[in-house]
Amino acid sequence: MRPLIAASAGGLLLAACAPPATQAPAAAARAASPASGWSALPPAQRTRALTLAEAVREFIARAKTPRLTVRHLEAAARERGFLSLPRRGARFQAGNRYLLPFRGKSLALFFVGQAPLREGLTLHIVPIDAPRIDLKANPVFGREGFLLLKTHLYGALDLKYWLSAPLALHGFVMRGGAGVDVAIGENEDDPVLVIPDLLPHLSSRRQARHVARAEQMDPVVAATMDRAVLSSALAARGLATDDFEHGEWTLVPARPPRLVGADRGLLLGYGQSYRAQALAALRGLSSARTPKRTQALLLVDRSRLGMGGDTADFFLEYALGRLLASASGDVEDLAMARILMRSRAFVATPNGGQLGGGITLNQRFDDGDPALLRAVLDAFARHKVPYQIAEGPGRGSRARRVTRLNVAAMDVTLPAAASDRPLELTSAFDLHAAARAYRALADL
Amino acid sequence: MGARLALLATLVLARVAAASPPEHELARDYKRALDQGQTSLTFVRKSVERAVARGFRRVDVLGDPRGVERFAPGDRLVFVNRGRTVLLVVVGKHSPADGVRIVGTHVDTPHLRVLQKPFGRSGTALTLRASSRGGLKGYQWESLPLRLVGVVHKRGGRAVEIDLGEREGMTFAVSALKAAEPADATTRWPRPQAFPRGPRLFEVLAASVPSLAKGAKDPVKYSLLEVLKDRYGIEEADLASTELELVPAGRARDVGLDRALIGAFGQDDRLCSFAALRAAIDLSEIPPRTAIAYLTDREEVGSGGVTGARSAYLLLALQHLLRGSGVRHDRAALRHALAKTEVLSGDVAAGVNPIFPEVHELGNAPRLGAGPALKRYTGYAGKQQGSEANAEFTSRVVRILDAAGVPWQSATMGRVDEGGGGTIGKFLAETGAQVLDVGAPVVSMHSPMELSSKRDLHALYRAFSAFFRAP
Repeated sequence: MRPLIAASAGGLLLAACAPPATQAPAAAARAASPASGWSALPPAQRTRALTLAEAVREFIARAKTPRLTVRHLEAAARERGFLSLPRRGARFQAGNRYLLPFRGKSLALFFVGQAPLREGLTLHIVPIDAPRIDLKANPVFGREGFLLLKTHLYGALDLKYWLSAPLALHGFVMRGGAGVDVAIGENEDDPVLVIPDLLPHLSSRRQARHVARAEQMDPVVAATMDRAVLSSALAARGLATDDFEHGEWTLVPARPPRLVGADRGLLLGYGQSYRAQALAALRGLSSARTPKRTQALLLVDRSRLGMGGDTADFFLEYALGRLLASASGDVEDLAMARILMRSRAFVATPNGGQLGGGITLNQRFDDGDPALLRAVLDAFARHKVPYQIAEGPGRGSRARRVTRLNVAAMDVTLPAAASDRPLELTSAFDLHAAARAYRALADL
Repeated sequence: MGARLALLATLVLARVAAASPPEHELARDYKRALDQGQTSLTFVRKSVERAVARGFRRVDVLGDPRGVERFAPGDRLVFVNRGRTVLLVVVGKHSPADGVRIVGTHVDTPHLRVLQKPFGRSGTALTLRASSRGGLKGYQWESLPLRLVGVVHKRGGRAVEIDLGEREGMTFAVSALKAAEPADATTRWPRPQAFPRGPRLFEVLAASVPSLAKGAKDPVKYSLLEVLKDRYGIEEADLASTELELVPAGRARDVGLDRALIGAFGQDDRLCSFAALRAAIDLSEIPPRTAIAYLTDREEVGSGGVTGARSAYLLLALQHLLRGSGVRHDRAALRHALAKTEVLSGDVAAGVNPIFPEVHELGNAPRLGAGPALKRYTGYAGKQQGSEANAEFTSRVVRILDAAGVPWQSATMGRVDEGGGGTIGKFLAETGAQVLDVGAPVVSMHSPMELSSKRDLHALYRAFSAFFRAP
């Protein structure tokens, strides 16, 4: 059916790989020659970059929630020789690797270095939560012949992009004291849930100012008003509507990630900020020589909510405390504080980098430590890491929070386009640059 | 972990019978047809293949200049117009001169169409430049993987069909600038007078890695050209004459835990097209009147062009049918036959959207699952630019549906001043035939994920079948 009312169009042309818009002017993003980025790569590295993009695609296809991300990264770490961090008596020999998962949603990976801990650590902080749509505790309601699920937003979503897109429902419910994962919509034969957008024929008035409001983001869960139908559909999956009240339930894009372009040089998929970077960091740090300082890769939850909550900020200090306790028994507060002051942190934060320009650095939030930037740049030069410096007003809030611990910090971020949409875009070139960057940072 | 595995196993086995087995069966076949027919060309080709497999024979209106071909009751015929429009004909007991029964639908759908000068740039990446074709909301196309499908007419005249994106593990995507500021949870749109269509010209990412081939003038562009050359033997100069569409990658899905709905691209109007197609080829007996499923092209851009419903091809095909039936086939005879012809214009209706119920007049709005929607009139505002069925024909169709036990509902297109829409109904009415619009309700029409009901699909199929079989 063809709409007969033609409203005038807002001709907004968006571009990726383009110089960043007004917020971060092109001149400010001093890229290491992005146009020739690929051309400067030796053929072996080019192949490695494209292979890494495929590995990231497979990873983000499965790592749809923080819990699943931790589980897959933990498995990947164990494959690389990581052992659970013991409460006490860890052998702090250079080259040892320990992991510490926390409440299923955060994960710390330690690469023990040559220098004693008291000389400080290098912290790499990468959030692993992504914007999503969560269910409310009492979500089921009926309207106009449908049962729908009432939702709450998690993080910053550009709502219009989440309409008329297939969504998968992920649940984590308790069964006899143990948590059980539920996923509906991830297999091609599974049903999906959809928040239906309005047809253009009838949109002119209703969506003139807002496409949708937060309280409208409710997916259709059954084409009936009869709750018994939903109950039996849930029962067939071993679930009950009660499970909504207790469990963790979230909706994420169901479209699987895909490589973009004839050369497969870009990656389109959900949750890449910053899960893609997390995998690149794990690979980069694992491939480095035994580092001088001990490296801690801290994969944290709840970054979208300002790092509040037990699995974000708290986890940073907790993980370091556990590391020190394991190494040397009781930890004196002062010792901890001294170690922190001698440490530095590299934090993944949205900062306006451009796609294909390499890993993005930004230190605008705290211009107190140009020496750190110098050291990073020198390490990048030694390791031939493609990078760009975003000098626009990057938000930096996440790194700034880390400076409260009296740790010098800066942004190190994988550029990703469209982070508030269901599917983000990254570049194989940048993924490769990220892996190399972490390898270089381990060398500081 | 053990508990997790056990639960996943029950997920796989879960089957909920919200729709009946025949409804699910037809829906499965329909989803297959949607996945295989992503453009007018491919949908028509697959439809013709289905028909030929079920005993239809191809008729060439240009291939019988002396008029020796003869049609008899029960003959099953396929007329194909330029690969994009098809008539599936089952010759009836009565002469076509006494009128025929047509179910008219369309197989085109709003999509992105690659421009004739296809290449653009987005930073260092190569883009395919594409415009929207048909009424679509641009933002709905900015966050999904796209598949490149269509035909290239090479220099020298050979046509090569292209389909990149599904099997090759590569896809295309509208390029997107990183949002500089975190999104306002209630996205504001700067133009209050217009609905937010988003862009109308799209830069679609097609390559980003410079080719290593020696002597390539533009190494990034060559990355794409290399694939086109290796796979299809296409050179850059061949791309001057193409019909290349960018459509959502991925397959049709069931929607809702009860699996009562289908979510897919292109249901407007391949849903009604599929129902008409199946109703025609499933006719097991000779119908009283000649039954025709007429699947047209170009409805979303006004039905113009040689393959649109306004093309004289339909009249040519009917004249051919008259001549082959051994009756007069001049213009006067054709007009006479058309005046006795009954048409159901099969196009989807705007089903009530539970997120935006306020755009509908709920007392007269069609509901998903309540059966085919009878749209007495189309158009906007004061029935402008619409078609309207008279009471006589409407009540005749209602009697046919009631006699066959097919559920139906009456329908309008939103509140009176909210907007509106049209179908091919008015163009078929201009031939002098009686026309009523009948179609399945769809939610989120024109989006990459339109929603329809399995129950409605099955009921529509039964409705069209009953119409073809009615005395």
